[in-house]
Amino acid sequence: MVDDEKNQKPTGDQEYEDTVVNIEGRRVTVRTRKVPPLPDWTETEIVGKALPRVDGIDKITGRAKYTYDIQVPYMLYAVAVRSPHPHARVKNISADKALAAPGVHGVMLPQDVASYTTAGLPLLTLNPKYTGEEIAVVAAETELQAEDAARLVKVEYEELPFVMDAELSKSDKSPVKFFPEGNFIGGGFGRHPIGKPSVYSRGDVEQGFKDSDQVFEETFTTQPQQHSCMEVHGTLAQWDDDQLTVWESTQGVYGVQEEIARVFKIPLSSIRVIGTHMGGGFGSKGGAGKQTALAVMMAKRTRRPVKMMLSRHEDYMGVYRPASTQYFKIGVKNDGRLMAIQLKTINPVGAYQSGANWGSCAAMTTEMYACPNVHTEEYAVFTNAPTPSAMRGPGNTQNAWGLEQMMDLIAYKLNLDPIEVRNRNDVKVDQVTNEPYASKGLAECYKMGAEKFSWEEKRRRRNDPAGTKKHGVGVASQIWGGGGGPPATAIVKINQDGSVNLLTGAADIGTGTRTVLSQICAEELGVPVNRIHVTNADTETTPYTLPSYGSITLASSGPAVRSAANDAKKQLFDLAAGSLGVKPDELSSKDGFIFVTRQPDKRMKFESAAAGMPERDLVGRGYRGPNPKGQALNAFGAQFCEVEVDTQTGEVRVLKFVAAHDSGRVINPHTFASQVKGGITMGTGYALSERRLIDGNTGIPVAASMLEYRPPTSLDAPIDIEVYSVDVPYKANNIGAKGVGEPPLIATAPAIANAVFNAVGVRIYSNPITPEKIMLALRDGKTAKQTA
Amino acid sequence: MPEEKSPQSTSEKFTLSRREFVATVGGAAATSAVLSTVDLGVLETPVFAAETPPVDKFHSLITLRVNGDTHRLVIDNRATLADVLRTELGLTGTKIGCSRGECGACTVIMDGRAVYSCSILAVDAQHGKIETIEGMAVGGRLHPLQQAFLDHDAMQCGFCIPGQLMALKAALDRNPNLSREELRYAISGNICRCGCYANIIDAAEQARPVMKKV
Amino acid sequence: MRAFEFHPAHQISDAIRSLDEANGNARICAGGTDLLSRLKDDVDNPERLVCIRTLPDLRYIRNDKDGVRIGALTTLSTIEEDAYVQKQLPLLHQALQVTAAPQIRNQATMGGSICQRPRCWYLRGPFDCLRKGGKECFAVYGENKYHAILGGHLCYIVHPSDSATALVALNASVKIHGSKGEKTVPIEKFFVGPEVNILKENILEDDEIITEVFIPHPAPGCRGAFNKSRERQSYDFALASAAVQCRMSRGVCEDVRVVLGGVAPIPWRSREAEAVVRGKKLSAATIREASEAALRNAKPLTQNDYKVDLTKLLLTKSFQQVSI
Ligand SMILES: Cc1cc2nc3c(=O)[nH]c(=O)nc-3n(C[C@H](O)[C@H](O)[C@H](O)COP(=O)(O)OP(=O)(O)OC[C@H]3O[C@@H](n4cnc5c(N)ncnc54)[C@H](O)[C@@H]3O)c2cc1C
Ligand code: FES
Ligand code: FES
Repeated sequence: MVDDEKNQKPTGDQEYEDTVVNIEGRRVTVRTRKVPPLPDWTETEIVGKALPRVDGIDKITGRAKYTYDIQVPYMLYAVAVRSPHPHARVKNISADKALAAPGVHGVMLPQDVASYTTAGLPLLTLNPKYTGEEIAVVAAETELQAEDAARLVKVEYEELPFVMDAELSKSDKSPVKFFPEGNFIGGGFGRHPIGKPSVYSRGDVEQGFKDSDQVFEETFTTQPQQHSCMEVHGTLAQWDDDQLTVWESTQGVYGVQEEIARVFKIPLSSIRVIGTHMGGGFGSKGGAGKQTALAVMMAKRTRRPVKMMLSRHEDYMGVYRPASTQYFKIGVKNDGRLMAIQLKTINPVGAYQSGANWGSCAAMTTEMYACPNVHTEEYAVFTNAPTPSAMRGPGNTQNAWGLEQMMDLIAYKLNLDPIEVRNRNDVKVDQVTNEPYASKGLAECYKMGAEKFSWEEKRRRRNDPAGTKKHGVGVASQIWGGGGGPPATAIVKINQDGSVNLLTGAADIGTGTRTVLSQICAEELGVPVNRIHVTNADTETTPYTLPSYGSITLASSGPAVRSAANDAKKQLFDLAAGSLGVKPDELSSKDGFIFVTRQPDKRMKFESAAAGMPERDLVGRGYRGPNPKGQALNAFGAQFCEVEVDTQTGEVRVLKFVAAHDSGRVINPHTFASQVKGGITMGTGYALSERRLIDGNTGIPVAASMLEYRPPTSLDAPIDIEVYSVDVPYKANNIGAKGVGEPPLIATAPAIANAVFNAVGVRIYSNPITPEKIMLALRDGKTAKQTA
Repeated sequence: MPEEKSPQSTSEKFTLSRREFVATVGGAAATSAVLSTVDLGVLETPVFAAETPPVDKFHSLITLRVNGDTHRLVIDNRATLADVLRTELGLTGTKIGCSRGECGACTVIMDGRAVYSCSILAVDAQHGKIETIEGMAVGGRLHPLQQAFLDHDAMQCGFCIPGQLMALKAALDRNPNLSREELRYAISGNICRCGCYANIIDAAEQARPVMKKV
Repeated sequence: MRAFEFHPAHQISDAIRSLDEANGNARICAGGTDLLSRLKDDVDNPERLVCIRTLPDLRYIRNDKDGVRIGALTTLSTIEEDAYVQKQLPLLHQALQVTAAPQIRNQATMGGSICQRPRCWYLRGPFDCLRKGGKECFAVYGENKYHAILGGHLCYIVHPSDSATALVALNASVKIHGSKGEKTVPIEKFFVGPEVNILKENILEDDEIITEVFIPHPAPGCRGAFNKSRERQSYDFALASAAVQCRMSRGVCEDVRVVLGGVAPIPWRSREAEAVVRGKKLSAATIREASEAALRNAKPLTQNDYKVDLTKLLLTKSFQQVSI
C-alpha cells in the first residue's frame, strides 16, 4: 500500500508533481515524475489484436510453475495450529511432543513471534478472537509429518464469551467488548474514532425527501464472499545467509517485500520476492499474509527453506468480502429524478481494527447518480470472525446489490424503463469531487448493450401465465476506478540480435498483464510480439510497481512500458539514423523495420540496427507519469441478463449476459473479454449460490469447503456471454486504457436479481438467491427478506 | 486405453527434469512463446525429497505408471496420487485446489477416465495407467485441445486449466461427438474461479472435429 | 489424516479377515471419494484401510432371468452408461446423472455410494455430535437448512446417496459377505434410522462387505422417474429428491414405490403416498393428495420448512412423469 511517509516530496526537484491515484475506491496522493507526453496511437498494428497469451503455452502444458509447485532442496512444510474456539485465552501450550515427532525441525509459539504483526494482526496469539486464528506453527520434512506434529501441540484453552451477530455486537448487550469505546468504528480507510460511524453528506436529505414525489425505503443484505482462488494462499521462504528469497502467490511482489522489510527490519536489497505465476487473487493476495511472515521466520530458525501453503479449509477460514446490511431511503420525482438518498450500512469486519478498512460500501451510492442530497453512515462492526480483505470491486460490489435494485424498483414503481431512470440521473461530473470525468461511456454502454441484447423486445415479451418456467430480463450498471497511476516503472532492453527483454514488476494474476504489456512494448518498438520476452513480478530483476489491485495494473504499468519502449526506440533510432542518413526524428518503425517516415522503402531491419549497438545492448526506462489534474478517472459498464426461473422449485438459470463496458482502449480483445466473462461468472455465484457460513451457536465455520461454499460450476454460470467495448476515447494516459479487472463483477448480481424480479414479480433482498428464498417468496406472496 | 495411444516415449519429454528444475527455479519469471522441443532427458528420482522412509506398516513400496514411464518409490500410505505426482515425481502440472474431490484441479486420466487424483491413494493407483497434463503434448506438439485453448483464450490464471484439459480429453476420447451441452457437462467437475467456462467450451468445440480425425 | 496400514484384499475372504482382525478399527476403501475426505477432515481415524479395488470380479453388470446384478466395485459411470439401465431402469439412470460430478462418478463405486456417510457439516466438522458418540445434535438449534424434515430422532442427518434413494424405489437388495457367511438383505432393511442406531446409517457390521446389488426386473408396464433439486447443477447433494417407480395398467397405478431423498436419515419410503395412488388413475387430484400425504408428518427444523413444499413438488413432478 502507498502510505503517507513515502510520499514526501523530493525537495528542489522540478521534475516531479503530485498526482491522485484511485485505488480500490481510495484516493491517494503520490509524488511522481513528469514524463514527456507521447503522441496518441492512431492506427495500431499489435495493440488491439486478439493475440494469444504470451504465457499461454506454459499454462496449457502444465509447465507454468506456481508458488504451490515450487520445490527447493531441503524444503520443509509448515502447518499452523489454529484455535478451535471463536474466543479464548490460551492457558498453556506444550510443544515437546511435536518437537520430538519424526521429521520435525521447528515449532514456533506465540512468545517466539510476539514482537511482530502484519497488517495489524498478530502472527500467533495467546488470545484468539476467531476460530481458526493461528496459535503455533510446526515445520517438518513432509506435509503429513507437519500435520501429524501439529496435532501433537497441546494447547489448553479457557473459552471466553463470543459474539457472531453484528447487531448484537453493536448493541449494549454484547457479551464481548472489543474496545472500551464500543464494538464498532467508521467503515473504510482513514482514521475513524471507535464508536462512531463514518459519515458522508451533501445537501440536505430531509429537505430532499420533502421535495420528493415518492419515497422508497428498503433493506438489502449481502453475504460474505470468499475469493476461493484456485491456488490457495502460500509462501516459500529460503534464506541464503542473510539473503532471503520468497516465492509468494501474490498480486504484488513489492508489497510483500515492503511488508517483510518492515516486519523484520531488514533492507529491501536483502529480500527477493518472486510471484511469476499465481493462481488467482481477486483482492485477497494484495500483500504479505501471516503465512508469509511465519514462513520467513521459520526458515530462519530451522535454516531450511520453508513452504507454508494454506489448505482449502484454512483458506475458507481466512479473508473474505465482508457482509453488509444496507438500509436505503430514496426520494424521487415522478419523472425519475433522484431527490435524496439516505443510506446506512452495517458491515461486520471480524475482531481486529484493520478489518474496518473494508467495512464500507456506500461509495457507489454517493457517486453513481445525480442527486443533490445524499447522506451515508457506515458502521464497521467487530465480531468473533476472521478479518476481511479487499475483494474484487470492494464496496461497490456489495453496494450495487442494493443501489441497482433500488433503481430497478423505482423504475417499476414509476412505470419507466430501468434504463430511462438511469439515463435521467446520468452525470458527467464526479458527484463527490465535482471533477469532470476524463471520459464516460456509460450512456453508450446502455445503448449498445440494449441493442445487442434486444432489451426493448425482450422486455415486452410476456410469460405464459400457466407455465412454470418464467423468463425475465434485468439490467444493472457499474462504476469503478481503474484510472491507475504512479508509481510504475518499466525497463525495455534491446539485445544485439534485436530480441527484447521487457522487465516489469506487475503481476499477472490471470488478467493477461504479461500479454498486454508485451503488446504495448511491441507496438511502440514496431516489432512482432514474439520478439519480446517479458519478465515480471520479481523484485530483484524488475522495477517497482504497485500491486495488481484496484484494476490499476494496465493503466499504471502500460504507460510506463510504452514510455520505456519509446525511450529504447529513440536510442536505437539515434544509431539507425546514421546508417540511413537521416535525422532520428525522421524515423519510424513497424513490422520489424526501421524506416524513414516519409520514404518507407528507405529502411533497415530492426535487428540490423541492434547489431550496431556499441554497448551490445541498450536500456530504455519508462515511468508512469501523473494523471491529469482535476479529472475523475473511472471505468463504467452496463450488463443485461436473461434468466429463467422455475416457479415451482425456485431454481434460477442464467441464460444470457450481454455486457457493454467502457474501459477505454482495449489492448487485447481476448483478455478483455475474459475479464468480463470472469466477472460475470463470479457475480453469478454471488447472486445465486455462494455462502460463507459460521455456525452462530459455536462460532465455528461450517461451510469452509468448495462443496459447501458453492462457487459456480460450468452448469451454473452462463456460457452465452457477449462482451462489448464501447470505445470512447480516453486521453488520461499514453495508452488510452482504463482497468477492467473488477468492474464486470459489480453489475452482475443486481442484474440477475432484477431479472428474477422481472420474471416472477418478487424481489429477493438478500443474496444468494437460493431456490428456497424464491419458493418462500412466491408462496407467501411477499418478498423474502431473511438474511440466511 | 489401447496401448498404441500411450503418451510419448521418455526421450521426447519436454518436462523439466529435476536437475533442470532445481537449476531454473531460482531464476526470474519466464514466459515462452513457443513450445520447447529441447530434450531435457529422463525423469529422475527426486534428489531432495525427505529421506526415503523404510517400508513398514505405514509405508509401501509402489509402482506407478505415468505417461508411459514406470516409477518405483516408497511412500506414506496416506499420500494421494496427486501428492505423489507433484512432490515425488515433480509433475506439478497436476494441481491441488481442495484435496477433497470438490474442485477438479487435480484431474488426471486413469485407464481412459478422468479422475480426481486427490481422492485416490497412491498405493491404490498402482493398477491403473495414468496420464497427466505433462503427457498431453506428444513429441513437443500441442494437442488439438491445447491449441484450441490457446486460440480461444480459454485460461486466465491457468491454475484449473490442466484439470480442464484432462477432463475434456478423457470425455472427447471416449466420444468425439459431444454436443455443446455435453461438453459443458463434461467439465462440470472442474471449477474455474476465474470464470473461463464459456471460452473453454468454445475451445472444446473447435478441437472436437480435429480430435475426431486423429 | 492419521497414519494407517494399507491392506489390499485379493479375495473377499482376505478382506473379511482383515476387517475382522481390526475389531472395528478398519475401513473398507473402494473408490475412496468419500472415505478419504473423512480421513483428511480427521472425523474418522481408522488404523487400517482394507482396499477392495484389488478384488477380482466385483466389477460387473449382469442380467439374468430375475434381474440385474451389479458388482459392488462397478463405478457409477459404468452403471450410468449401461444400455439396460438406461432402458429398463430410467429412474436409476436419472439419479446417477445428477449425482456428484463426472470424475466422482468415474471413481465412486456402487458399494461406496450406498455406504457413504452423511454430509451433515456438524458430523464432518470438529463437533462432538451424537453420531460421533457425543452428547448433542448441533443441527437442532444450529444451521439446519440442509437437514431432515422426516424421520429425525435426536439426530437430523439426511442420507446423502442419490443411488440409495433410487435403489429403494427399485426394490433392490444387497448381498453382504461377513465372517458369519453370506446374506442378502432387501435394501430397505439395510438402512436404519437414528432411532435404531444413532452411530450408523445401515446394518453393516464391522467385518462385513457388500459384494453385489441386485435389482429385480421391473414388471411390464413399470415406469420410473427421479427428480432432484440442488443449489448448483453439479456436485451438490439433494436439497430433496423424489423417486417413483410405478406399474401402470390402463392408466391405473397397480403397484408403486415412492421414496424421498435428502429429507430423512434414510432413503424415506412413503407408504402414505403409495397408499393414496395404488389402484387409482394418476389424476392431478390424486397426485396432489399423495404428495400431501407423503409430507403430512414432516417436522421441519428452524430453517428447512422450504423442504416440505419442495419435496411435494418433486414428488408431484415424478408422479406426473410416470403418468404420461
Ligand atoms: C464433491 C462431492 C459431491 C458429491 N455429490 C453427491 C451427490 O450429489 N449425490 C450422491 O449420491 N453422492 C454424492 N457424492 C458422494 C459420492 O457418491 C460418494 O463419495 C461415492 O459414491 C462413494 O463411493 P466410493 O466407492 O468412492 O466409496 P469410498 O469412499 O471408498 O467408501 C465410502 C464408504 O463406504 C464404505 N464402503 C465402500 N464400499 C463398500 C463395500 N463394498 N462394502 C461395505 N462398505 C463399503 C467405506 O468403508 C466407506 O465408509 C459426492 C461426493 C463428493 C466428493
Ligand atoms: S484437488 Fe482434487 S478435486 Fe480439488
Ligand atoms: S483459469 Fe484461474 S481458475 Fe480457471
